[in-house]
Amino acid sequence: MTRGKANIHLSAQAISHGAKDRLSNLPDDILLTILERLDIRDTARTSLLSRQWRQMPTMLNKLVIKVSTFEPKKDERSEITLDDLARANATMHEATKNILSGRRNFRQYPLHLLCLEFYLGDESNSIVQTVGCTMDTLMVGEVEFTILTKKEQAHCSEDDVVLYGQQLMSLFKVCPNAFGGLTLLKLENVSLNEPDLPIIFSVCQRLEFLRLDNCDTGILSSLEVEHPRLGELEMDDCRFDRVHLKWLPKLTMLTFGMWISQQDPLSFGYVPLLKSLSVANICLSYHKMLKLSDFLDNVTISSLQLNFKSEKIWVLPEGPKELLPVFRKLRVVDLVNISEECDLNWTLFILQGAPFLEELHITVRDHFCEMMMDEELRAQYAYSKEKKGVDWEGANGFKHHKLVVLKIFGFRPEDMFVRYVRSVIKAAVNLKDVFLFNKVVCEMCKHDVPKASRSPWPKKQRFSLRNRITSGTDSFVVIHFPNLSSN
Amino acid sequence: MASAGSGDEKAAAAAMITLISSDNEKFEVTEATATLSQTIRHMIEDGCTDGGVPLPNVTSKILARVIEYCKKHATAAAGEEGSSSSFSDAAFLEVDRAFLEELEEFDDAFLEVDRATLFDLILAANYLDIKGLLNLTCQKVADSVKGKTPEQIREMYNIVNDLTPEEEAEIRRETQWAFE
Repeated sequence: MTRGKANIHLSAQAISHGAKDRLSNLPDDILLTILERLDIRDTARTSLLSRQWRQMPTMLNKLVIKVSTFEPKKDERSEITLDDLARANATMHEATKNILSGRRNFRQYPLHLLCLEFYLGDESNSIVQTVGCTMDTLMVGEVEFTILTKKEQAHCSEDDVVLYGQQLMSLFKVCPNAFGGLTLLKLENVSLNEPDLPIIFSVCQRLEFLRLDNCDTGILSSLEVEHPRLGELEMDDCRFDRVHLKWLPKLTMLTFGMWISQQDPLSFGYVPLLKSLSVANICLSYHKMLKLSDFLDNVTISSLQLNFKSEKIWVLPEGPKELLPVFRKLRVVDLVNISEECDLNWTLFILQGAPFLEELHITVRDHFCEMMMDEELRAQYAYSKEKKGVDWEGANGFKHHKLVVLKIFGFRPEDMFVRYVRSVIKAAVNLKDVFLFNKVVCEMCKHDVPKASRSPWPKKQRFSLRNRITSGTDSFVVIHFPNLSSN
Repeated sequence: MASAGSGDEKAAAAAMITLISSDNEKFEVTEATATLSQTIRHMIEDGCTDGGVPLPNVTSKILARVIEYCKKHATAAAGEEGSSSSFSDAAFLEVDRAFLEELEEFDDAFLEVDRATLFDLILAANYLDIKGLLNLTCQKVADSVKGKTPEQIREMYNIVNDLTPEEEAEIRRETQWAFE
């Protein structure tokens, strides 16, 4: 107790210096707002500040515990060993156990979100068990698991992903009730047996969000998805032959990236609420062109994004008669990373086929950071040698009455672009705004792209572009040249 | 200072609101600026802003800063053209990023204040219910304790340790994982 006295003496000293503890005097909800912004290690350390602070972490209604917080800080990710990651995972378990057991004594404070990110491995069983026990005794609103693998995708061998798959399924067996309460699940780099994914879907009954990165059940297997609550599904680099969304009554958003199948990679069963669809692929020489009227048969989406990854266009232009049934609810279309060598004229088939379209966004970009540039490797991975664009001899002179906004990112003051914008303006009689952005760059490629193509347009050029685009049309469209970046 | 809205070209056309600080200084601002505060937005909706809005919890010094923040962010919100997309595609994120960069610079400069002012801003943001400003100022405090030991934090904020040595040892044992 003598130390306690010493502390009080210190406080008297502090007050005599006129220094007040304004931090501790903030209202609890503001202190919690501050604590929410700390990682779990820093939060735990504040519990040593004083009696008041000791209680604070138990009042948090969001708990985010990530294994990365416990990884050693090294300059290069490659310097971190698998043992380092196992140790971090074990410490993460200690933290989870401690935080959640503290929680059980303070059940008056609701826990809205419990978000955990950890590695698959021997240590992950105890993490999941700890969560399972918590969910038996505590009401938790949302529970989120991001289950990482210790090796990144690029370093995973076939054996690795099979082993990770086995570890994942043993995790499910250890503590199904933890998974039964999950609202969000993200998995990566696991190769499973054919019945495993259906098991996962049936165990995770509360799931609302699922992301699968580089997950499969053997190369070119097929997958049927049925789930009563799933609202968002993201699949990237999953090597299925075909994914059938059989029964997903709550699904509203689907993101599907990269496939190796030679047929349509996706088919839609009962997905009555599906509104947003985002599809990305690098079109290799063996890929079939996607016929949207077949592909989207059975869904009524309002928002469609197609990402061509700066390679060959992989949708087949079609006439309005074929497209109208699948495009009748379409309001926003976003065409991303169209190669700079493509003429944009083909995109008019979408405009013509979607009479209720309100916004059309186009990004033209050869994104070098993501592209395969080496000719030998391109041949080895079956990159297409054909030209990247597609031709479209659509009906001339069609009118579109709903389109109000056209945005082009990566616009250049060349005839091809001017001609395209003029075509859209002529067709879309109610078009109000055209936004022409210059080249889009990421942090990595920023320095390789000539400054001129990403600087603001000089006034003179804007004036002449406006003229070239609108002269001879009687459109009232406003042409904007927004700034992408100041540097 | 009293005519804080004079630099705003659109001010003449827009509805103006008068805010009155605790020390009775009057600030005239546009509705767009004022309604970043949910508290004031509700007062406008209820039609009780005639004759000015008294803010007895906020001094003129702090109110001037809060208005500076709101003006910048209200303009930003209005000029946010070409950055809406239902998808979080990289291209659009980059557009947003470029646009947000300037705002971030403003925010960083805005936060260059002494600790007493920072706490005053937090309390004002809380009282006026300006979410962005509250988040910004709370983040600043959070950043200041990141990676620090409890002793360093206590010293920084004059926090009195009223834990007994036994209690302190117990907490240390339980949170060993946070100190490794």
